[in-house]
Amino acid sequence: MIIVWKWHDLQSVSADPRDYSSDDQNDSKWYDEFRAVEETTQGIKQGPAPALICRLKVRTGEGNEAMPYIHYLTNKYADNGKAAVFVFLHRRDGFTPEHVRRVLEGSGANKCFLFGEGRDRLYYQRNGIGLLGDNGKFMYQPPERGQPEVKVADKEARYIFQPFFDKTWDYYAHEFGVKIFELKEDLLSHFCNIFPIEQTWNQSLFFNYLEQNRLLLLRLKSFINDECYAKLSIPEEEELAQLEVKLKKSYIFDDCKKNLEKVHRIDEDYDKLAEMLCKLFFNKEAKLAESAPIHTHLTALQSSFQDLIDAINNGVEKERT
Amino acid sequence: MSAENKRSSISNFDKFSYLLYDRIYATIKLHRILKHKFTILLTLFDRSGKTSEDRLLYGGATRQKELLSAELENDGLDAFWKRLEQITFPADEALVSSFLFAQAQEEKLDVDTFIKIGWLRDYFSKPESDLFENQVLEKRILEKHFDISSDRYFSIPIFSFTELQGVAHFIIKDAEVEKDPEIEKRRAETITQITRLLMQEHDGILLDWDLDDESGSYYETSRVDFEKISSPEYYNEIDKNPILASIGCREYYELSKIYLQERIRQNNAIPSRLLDEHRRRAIIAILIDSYAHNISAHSLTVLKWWFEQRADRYVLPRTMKEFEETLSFKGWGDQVVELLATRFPNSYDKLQIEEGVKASLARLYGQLQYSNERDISIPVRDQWVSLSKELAPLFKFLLEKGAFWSGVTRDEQFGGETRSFFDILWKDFINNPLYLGTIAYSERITKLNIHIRIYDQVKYAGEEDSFKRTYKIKQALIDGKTTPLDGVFASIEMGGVAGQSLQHKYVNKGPLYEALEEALDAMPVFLPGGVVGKHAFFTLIENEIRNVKHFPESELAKMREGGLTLVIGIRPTTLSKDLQWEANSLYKVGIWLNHLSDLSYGNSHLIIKRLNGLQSDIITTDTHRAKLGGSFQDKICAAMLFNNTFISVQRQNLTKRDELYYPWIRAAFSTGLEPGGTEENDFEVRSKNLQNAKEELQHHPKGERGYFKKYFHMWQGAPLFPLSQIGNLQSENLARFKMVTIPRKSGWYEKARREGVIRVIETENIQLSESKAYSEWLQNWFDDTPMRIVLMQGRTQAGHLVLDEEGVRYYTSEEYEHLDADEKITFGDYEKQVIPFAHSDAAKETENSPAMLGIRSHGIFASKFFHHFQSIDDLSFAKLKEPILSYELAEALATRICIFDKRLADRAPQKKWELLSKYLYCDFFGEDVEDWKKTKAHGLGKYHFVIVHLSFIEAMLDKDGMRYGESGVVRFIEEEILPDISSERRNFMFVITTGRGRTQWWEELSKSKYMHFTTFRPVESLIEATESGVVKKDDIELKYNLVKVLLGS
Repeated sequence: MIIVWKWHDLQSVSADPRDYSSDDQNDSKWYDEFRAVEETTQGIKQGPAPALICRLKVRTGEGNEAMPYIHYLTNKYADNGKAAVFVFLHRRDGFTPEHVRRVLEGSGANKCFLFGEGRDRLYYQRNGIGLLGDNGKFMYQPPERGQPEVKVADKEARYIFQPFFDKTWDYYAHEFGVKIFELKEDLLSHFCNIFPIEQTWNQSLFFNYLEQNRLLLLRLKSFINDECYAKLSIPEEEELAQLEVKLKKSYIFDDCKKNLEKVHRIDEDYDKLAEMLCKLFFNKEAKLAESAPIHTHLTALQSSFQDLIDAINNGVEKERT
Repeated sequence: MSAENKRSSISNFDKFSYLLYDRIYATIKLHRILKHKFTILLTLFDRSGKTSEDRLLYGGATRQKELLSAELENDGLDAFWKRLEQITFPADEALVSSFLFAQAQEEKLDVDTFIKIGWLRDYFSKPESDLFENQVLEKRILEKHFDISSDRYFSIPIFSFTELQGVAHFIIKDAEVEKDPEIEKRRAETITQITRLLMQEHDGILLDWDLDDESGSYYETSRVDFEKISSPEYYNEIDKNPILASIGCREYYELSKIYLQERIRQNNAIPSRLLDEHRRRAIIAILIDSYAHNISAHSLTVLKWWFEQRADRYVLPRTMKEFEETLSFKGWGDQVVELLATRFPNSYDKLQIEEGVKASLARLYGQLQYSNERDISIPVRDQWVSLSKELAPLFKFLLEKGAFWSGVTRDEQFGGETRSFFDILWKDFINNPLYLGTIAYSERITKLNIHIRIYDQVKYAGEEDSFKRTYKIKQALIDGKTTPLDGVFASIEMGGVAGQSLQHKYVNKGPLYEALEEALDAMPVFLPGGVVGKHAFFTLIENEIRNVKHFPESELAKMREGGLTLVIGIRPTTLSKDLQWEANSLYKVGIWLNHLSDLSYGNSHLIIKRLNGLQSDIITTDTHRAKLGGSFQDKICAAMLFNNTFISVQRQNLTKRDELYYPWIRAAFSTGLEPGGTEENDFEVRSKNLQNAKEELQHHPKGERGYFKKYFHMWQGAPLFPLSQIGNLQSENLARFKMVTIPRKSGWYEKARREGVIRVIETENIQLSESKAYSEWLQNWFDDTPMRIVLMQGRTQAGHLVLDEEGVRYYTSEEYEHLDADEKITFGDYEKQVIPFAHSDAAKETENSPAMLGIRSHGIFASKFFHHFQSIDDLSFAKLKEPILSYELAEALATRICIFDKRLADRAPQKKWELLSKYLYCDFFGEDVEDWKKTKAHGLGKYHFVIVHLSFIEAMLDKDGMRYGESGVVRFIEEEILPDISSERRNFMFVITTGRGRTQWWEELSKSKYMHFTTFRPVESLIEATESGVVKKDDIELKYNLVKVLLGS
């Protein structure tokens, strides 16, 4: 895992990456490694497969400036495809979906995620998943009232403790599939059994009904991301972000498609589903909605979602092999 | 009387001496001491206050004339009598009595000195041309009523409370002189008896005079030390005049002590109350005049005119019509509407947005149209963009002036507030350009430079406080160069060309801003009554700006070019050495205009005139009307800053401190600095060195020019005071301390609380370090409960404030992680308070649907307490600036407050009430009785402060269904507070707040036994505290400000 943000405890590092010449790129001054280990009664034990977290220490002004360094590290650790590399880019440090694309296209990274505002699973939550505290450090929670302490890493020894690493890795390995699966389940359960299934699909009626579940509407827009009919406006993006913070969960799809395109090569399935959703709920000119009864459209939707999820799962399997 | 003791003045001295004459005459007549025709030439020391030296006058000459007229109706000497009533002369020109005065001076005055009965013919034996004027007058009158060739005279000294007041010359017929040698032998006894009678008459009238409201003789008799004048040591060592022993002075005062003291006590009570009432009214009148002058006549008049013109440009329908005819809204306008409607979907509908865009544009259009046609530019009138930024501080200023008025009418300041000079000068005073920049506009001056000069040493030419002194300017290292802290701190520019920038810059930092900011920020100053003291200070500055009108046109022309420069000089200092109080406790603040003035005033000097004016009462002696004018405004405000109350303005001698500092303002001038110099010669006059100053000024050149200054004192805010003797309070100002330690069981707790100090620490050893004292205070305040305050960033613990018997410590998350494991387990069991901040300051959730608290990088929490706190991301890493700040932070965060006040509740956003209550222990309520009942049901006992608005108390019904009213505050406490709170509790304060100037409730409360846990705060201070946090969107600042206002510092 390569985590890229402005690590605030790395005060000694220059704010300007131009301070480093290309010769410095091997210099550990601008990144550090935390090796995953298991803490046993006998002491510290290396895990079966070497796993590590690399913190890029360059305090960049904006995402673009960090790109050469990210590419360098991803290529280094991917080792010509022998190892899997996930890159995490911190949104508030200027990283956008465009940077996700550039990371995926120009390096050996297997996946690239945007994170931030404490709403992603990279942040530690209760069940042992996550690495970071909301304060931008590896999570530490002191003991209190009989509860033991939670310690994700040992900074001095440069260790990351294996259970936290593994659970977080596993989550992110499946994150896109899980997000799409959840969207499918929430969407279909919102609509099925409400109207007589023989009734013809009525776009405005369904859209109004969709609006009653604001989070679902925003997730759908984020997924479709159609310039003309269904794209999150800036206030809607902020609204979704607030809901994510409140629910402590990431729903946004802004880093999803880029990964699917690059890694899984399944953008066609994605586009097909997105187009269908757009026509059913948003694109009034498409005339798809009123062409068939509800059950026909829901079945088609379910099928499209499943095709995409299957394709993602296949892709993940391929990565493992 | 010893030479150095100057006689104090007796008000309405003419009337006093008239009555004295009358009584002496009657006594002599009625006791048949003199049986034939006689008159008295009563030469008294002039105590009218009109002259500063010891001169004599003919006391009661009017009465003398009336009595003589009874025998010779028209003596044709009116002109001589008139002159006799006016003339004053030095004691050495009193031919007969000069030797008597000299003997008294040398402490040799005995009855033998004046036992001789002289001949008038001898007295007037010199040719008339050799006589003094007063003798000529005497001769003219006496030769009309007596036979100079054959009549006689004798002289008796008049003592009162052992001090020589003058001499009574009795003019008698020769027949009066007994020729019998036996009788002549008893003459000494008779003369002694007359001397004693004259003394009793003078004492009696003086006592009456203190009672007489109209006289206002400044309680002459109150200053008499009866223990001293009835002791043998006094007559053996201090005043050895044998006559005092002869007349039985000591025995008389010994025997009469109880009677006289009781009479003085009763006397003082009556006129003092009456005069105080007159003065209270006068204070209000004088300060209203200040408002009328500084604010209304100068600033608001100008602003009203500018804004009237500005408003006139917005004849919207006309402009909109013109605008619509010339510009199509289609296209670009639709895009703007679409953008705004999408971005802010919950504000207005599209139609309204379109109207709003057009109206805004039409306003700008009108403004530009006018500016285009202008002849001269006035930024306030012509500036294109809104003036809200400049108007907000003006409204705040006017609001605070309202609070100041309430403070003036109430005149009970209940402690105060300590802030840095930087805070009050920069944030509250200078950043109010619309007001400050228009005070001098009547002289067409549009630029005001605020120049700060900081002194660090003073050298006196002679003894301390002598007339001439040299101040040394403090130096600081700026960019590696030693630089005097003397320069322009900021400039306020009301002129300029409006078209130069969209928004005119009214306040500009001066070249020495940064260095002065640092220096001023390190100077904590105590403001009695908080906002009240602050505006007393501002009034002193405003008045000086207004003095620009005294400058000649040539100087005004220069000011129009380069600006009017106001200098504020500050020097940290101690109280006068005479008080033997070593603590560095005061700032001597000088204010003047940095423009040369002609310092002469007729034959006198401007500073002598200023001091003489200041020394007089603020009310007239006859009708008790207020004496209006800037000098008295200054005097009242300076008295308030020094004594905490306005009514102290005429308190001249209640304590030694009063004697030394009255009239609170000192007049001074300097001739300025040498170019590049760091020393300034100052000439300062005060009561003590007045004579010396006059003498020295005679050597100054006529028509001297210089910088005309005024000085006054403000108290330094300080952290800790160990109160070892209650008598200390006579010199000190206890309210200026953040904490006061008192010995256990000293019984001073309530006294200290009444002085306005909340943090009173009873302890075995009062000599504690600041942190130790704070630790003891917090232990007591938080009921000895160990606490851990956890600062959270989102869901992560980012900082820990641990409070236990060891004190308060702050740990960053990393420091905490590395604590000993057992220690972490111990701290983990402490009572926990969670302070959650949003994950990032970019997150919107703090504003719209707050779940966590918000802070800002420029707010108190980040800027006052921590190093390098730029954003919330620094929370885990930032360290406290100083360990002592951990105490203040813990106190601010964990103090529990409950507020029942509509105004405050309206200010605090309702959507945040739950958060503020849950995390910051700060509960806001309107003034709903049901809320009060519910809160009481949950128990008031958990709070440290319960704040209730006075009107809520007044309107609440008691158990009999009757309103408590203003006078029912004590009953309210007994019925509504005490069931929940033990009156013995030392960590609870009941705070009454109001914006009104009423005092009845406070008078009732003052008589109760609940004063040690009851106090008052002006609602304006609490509103400002709340608003400041709300505007900054910094919840910690809101809570911190409230705690600071409540605790006073």
